[in-house]
Amino acid sequence: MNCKHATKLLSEAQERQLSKSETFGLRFHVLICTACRRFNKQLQFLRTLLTQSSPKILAAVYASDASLSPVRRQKIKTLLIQAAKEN
Amino acid sequence: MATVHPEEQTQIQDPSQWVDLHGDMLLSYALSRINHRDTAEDLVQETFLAAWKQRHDFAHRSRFSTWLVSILRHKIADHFRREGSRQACSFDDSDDWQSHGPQFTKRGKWTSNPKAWSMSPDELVENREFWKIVAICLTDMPAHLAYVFRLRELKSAKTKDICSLLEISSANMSVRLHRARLLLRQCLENKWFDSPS
Repeated sequence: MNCKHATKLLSEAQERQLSKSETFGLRFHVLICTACRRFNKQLQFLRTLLTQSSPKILAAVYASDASLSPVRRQKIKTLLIQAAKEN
Repeated sequence: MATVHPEEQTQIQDPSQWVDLHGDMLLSYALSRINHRDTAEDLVQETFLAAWKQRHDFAHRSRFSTWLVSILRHKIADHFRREGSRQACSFDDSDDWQSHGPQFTKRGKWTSNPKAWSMSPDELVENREFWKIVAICLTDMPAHLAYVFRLRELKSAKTKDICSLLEISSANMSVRLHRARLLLRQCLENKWFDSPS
């Protein structure tokens, strides 16, 4: 088992149960490979962090100063006014 | 009994105000998930038009803006469902999702070993600067990968729900999650954990 395969299994393990042979091969690889051991820890780390995260923080952080372009703004208004007239 | 916010009664019947009142908010929402300007604006436009058509379905159980966001959310899911059938998402070594270079060599070894992260989740959970970096990293990765990741990790969606929403196989979903995790990990390491400051 190489690292590419091991990381794929480590990721999949977050969603499904691995088979006995997958688990066996993975355990052995992680035992001898520092890089993948770290990767696994970091996967758990991210999982913990994200489940603990406050939705408010994420929402605040995503808030942007985005503004509709004037052209688009006008276009939508026109379409809405048109639609309103038809009703 | 629904609470009717009085100003919303008239607002709903007068669509000429909708864009000025809610357009930018909807655009922000769309951009954070689509990161392609034209597409995001298209979806906002579709949302307003759909809202007008469905205005009688708005039962004042929430704020008007919240209802608009829920319409937009459906449009975004539709977008990724259509995208999904185009993103073949081959399971082999197509590297086009790895904008910062391949994560693994041809022999399957890490091209760059993960570094040790010396912080605990507790230290970071309330750190605004850290979450800004997380948001940047999610925006940097291909949108169709970030979308599945958000559904799974931020919304705790069940895997079968994600698969049916996007009409993708669970194998395809696994590949997307795996790639998103690799990219996020790499990005956070570069921008936060291993960063000079």
